[in-house]
Amino acid sequence: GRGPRAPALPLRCGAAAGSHPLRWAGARGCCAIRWAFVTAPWDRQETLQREFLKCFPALPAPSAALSHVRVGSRADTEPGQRVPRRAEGLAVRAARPPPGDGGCLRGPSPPCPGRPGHQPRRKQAGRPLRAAGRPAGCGGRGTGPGGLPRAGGGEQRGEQPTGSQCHPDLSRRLLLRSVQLGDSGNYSCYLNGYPVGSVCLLVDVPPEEPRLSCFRRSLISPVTCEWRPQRPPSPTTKAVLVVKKFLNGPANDFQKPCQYSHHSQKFSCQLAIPETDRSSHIVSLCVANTVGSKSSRWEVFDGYEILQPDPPANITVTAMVGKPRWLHVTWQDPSSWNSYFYRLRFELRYRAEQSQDFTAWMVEGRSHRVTRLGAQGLQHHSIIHDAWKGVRHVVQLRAQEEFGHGSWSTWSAEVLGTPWTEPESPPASSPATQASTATDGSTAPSRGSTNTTSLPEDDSSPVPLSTFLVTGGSLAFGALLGAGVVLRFRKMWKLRALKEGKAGVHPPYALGQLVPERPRPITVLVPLISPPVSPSSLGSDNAPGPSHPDAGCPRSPYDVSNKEYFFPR
Amino acid sequence: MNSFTSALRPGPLGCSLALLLVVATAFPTSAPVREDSNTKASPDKTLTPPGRTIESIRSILETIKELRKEMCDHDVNCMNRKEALAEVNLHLPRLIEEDGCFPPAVNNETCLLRITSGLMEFRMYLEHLQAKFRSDEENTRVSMVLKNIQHLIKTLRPKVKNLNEEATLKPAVAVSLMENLQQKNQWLKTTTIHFILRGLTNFLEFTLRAVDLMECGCPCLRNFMGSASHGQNTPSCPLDT
Repeated sequence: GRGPRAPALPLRCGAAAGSHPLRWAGARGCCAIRWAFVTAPWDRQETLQREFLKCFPALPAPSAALSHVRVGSRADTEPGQRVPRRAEGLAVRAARPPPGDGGCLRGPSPPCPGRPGHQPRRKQAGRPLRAAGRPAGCGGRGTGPGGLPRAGGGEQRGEQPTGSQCHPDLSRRLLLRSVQLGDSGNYSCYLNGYPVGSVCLLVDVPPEEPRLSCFRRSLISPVTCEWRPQRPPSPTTKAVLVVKKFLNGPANDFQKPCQYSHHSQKFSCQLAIPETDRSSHIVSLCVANTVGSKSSRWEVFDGYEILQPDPPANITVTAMVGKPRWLHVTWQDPSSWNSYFYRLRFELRYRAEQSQDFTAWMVEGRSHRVTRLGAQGLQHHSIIHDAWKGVRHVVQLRAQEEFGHGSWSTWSAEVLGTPWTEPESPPASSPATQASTATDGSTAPSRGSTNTTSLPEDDSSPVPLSTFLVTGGSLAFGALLGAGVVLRFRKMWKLRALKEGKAGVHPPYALGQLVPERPRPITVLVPLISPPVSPSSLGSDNAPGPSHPDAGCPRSPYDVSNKEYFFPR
Repeated sequence: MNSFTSALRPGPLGCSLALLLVVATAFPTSAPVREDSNTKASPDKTLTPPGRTIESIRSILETIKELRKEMCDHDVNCMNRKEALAEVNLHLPRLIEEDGCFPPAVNNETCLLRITSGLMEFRMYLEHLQAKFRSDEENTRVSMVLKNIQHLIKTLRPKVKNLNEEATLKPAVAVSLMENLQQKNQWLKTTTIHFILRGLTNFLEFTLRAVDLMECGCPCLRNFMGSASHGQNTPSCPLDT
């Protein structure tokens, strides 16, 4: 909060510094304005229900006025003493208008520069309240009915507001049994039917200290600054964004109005910055109402540094038929980016679901010419070439302006995908296998995906295993047979063996298929479709720049992989 | 603001300009001078000829970035500390909304004129920067940037009809620049170099965006205009005939 300072405004009724629990403007020697300003914790309104200053006309002088200001827990507060309590609370402020001015000016305290749309309002006297007092006071004679008309905020129901009255016993005091925000208004005192004075009563919640956060989602969007108060602000609370702009010279000061949304429960202000403007801005949020004002700390930014896009949207991770180690990832610009002129670059990271370590790479956003005009915005894609076979992967993306202006977006939500799994041999192709392939192709149906991906292996192992046990047995038998033959005729072939050492391997090549020395029959099943494509080479060649936009056609299962498989040789 | 921004000559434009641009960028241009070690080869091996201009600009930007990194001894804070550059009193070319390079108010002819004029002015600055760096490597880099800028101007220039005058620094500007660079005050000299390179970076980034937009042509522009964020109600494409 701001400390007490001499009001810069002319001392009119209602223009008092809000931080004072009591302020007697008359002490400044100006017009005869009398102020009382009382605060109490929000949860202890009863302190304000008690006696409250009334019947100002009886106050002889500012110094003596204190004796009349017995207001709950603040009764002992001296003029000029700062309010030590927390910001959140209910405040009541009263003022006596200068003689001849029966009205009440109501307005927020002035420290906020340029209160937006909150001009002091003059309240008219309303219906009288029942009041009584001693002759020396406003109440006149004993039980003689005086009047304390109340006006302004609150309902005018033609009867005395609940709990408000000039209590005869308390003399020159008005009891407000239940102070509400709507009790603000102008209270007048009548003696023998004649008005002898009035007092302006303001009831409001001092504003909290704002904590401002500003962001900009794209270069053609304004900077949005927001603050969400802990409690809904009172209806009189207004906010304004104070802006200082530095551009090759002295600061240019201006203000932007802020709106409170009951839906989001936030104050929100928008600061438009031209897309080519990189000048520095310093902003602060000022909130004010009838009883006080608070300003946030200054936020410093320039139009580019503050940029932080939303994470990429509509991410899909799909398997690619025939590519058991590939995953096709597509995504779109976030809708808030809303520009084709300015582009994003992306960082893609992925890991096997059980793993902790991510693999990441950068994807330039300006490399997709074909898909740039998608109906739903820019479509981007990339291919992961070194996924684990049959393992579900977690993929995430984040975005930043393509030249590195501003900061990275947060990481997108995790999207899951499993590489294509080789369909089982025709007799073994069960519906479960088909379903697993289909599930792998979809984006992120997490339901049972792990099970479906692991199922094929579990299911497939017994069937091919038995098959291969038989096959392997026969092959082993054949191998032994061949070995016996070789041993038997070794002497006979001894001379030729030297001569046809290498050539001798070839003829048995057909036989070699029958005699695979590899101990892993499963890998024999997938030699063509699953090119061992030495993962290391793939990783080193393609992983850093895998964003070949047209490289991965999901419908051509063989071409690229086989090329890569055979080309190095 | 700048001398080159005064020759605005908006005129009726058609898609022929976009075609002209595409054709011009498709000229058999020599590849931009690349760095020996640090410049990565473009991963996109299927670049269309228009994309070559984009890649050329990217290459220049990368070189400038490396140059500034070396000047800052790879201190990122140094590179982004623009407050330090505030004392440099030079008015570098910069693209503004009126230059026809920004959607939705795109004007190819005006935009290209602004771009080439600005690049020519930057070329003048770069010539003054030559041999002003502390190491041979940095001086080599700035020479490389200069060559590539000249190359880029040649690439873009055939697309402009009305570019009669050669851009030269105004005498006062040249004097001020020389004073900054020849000062014994190393600080001012360094900040001046940073200021120029930063301004050039900013200019080239917008150049890249604008060239990419123009190469895309009317479909892209319609898409721009379809964006509600630009606040236009279905305007006609200025590139349409």
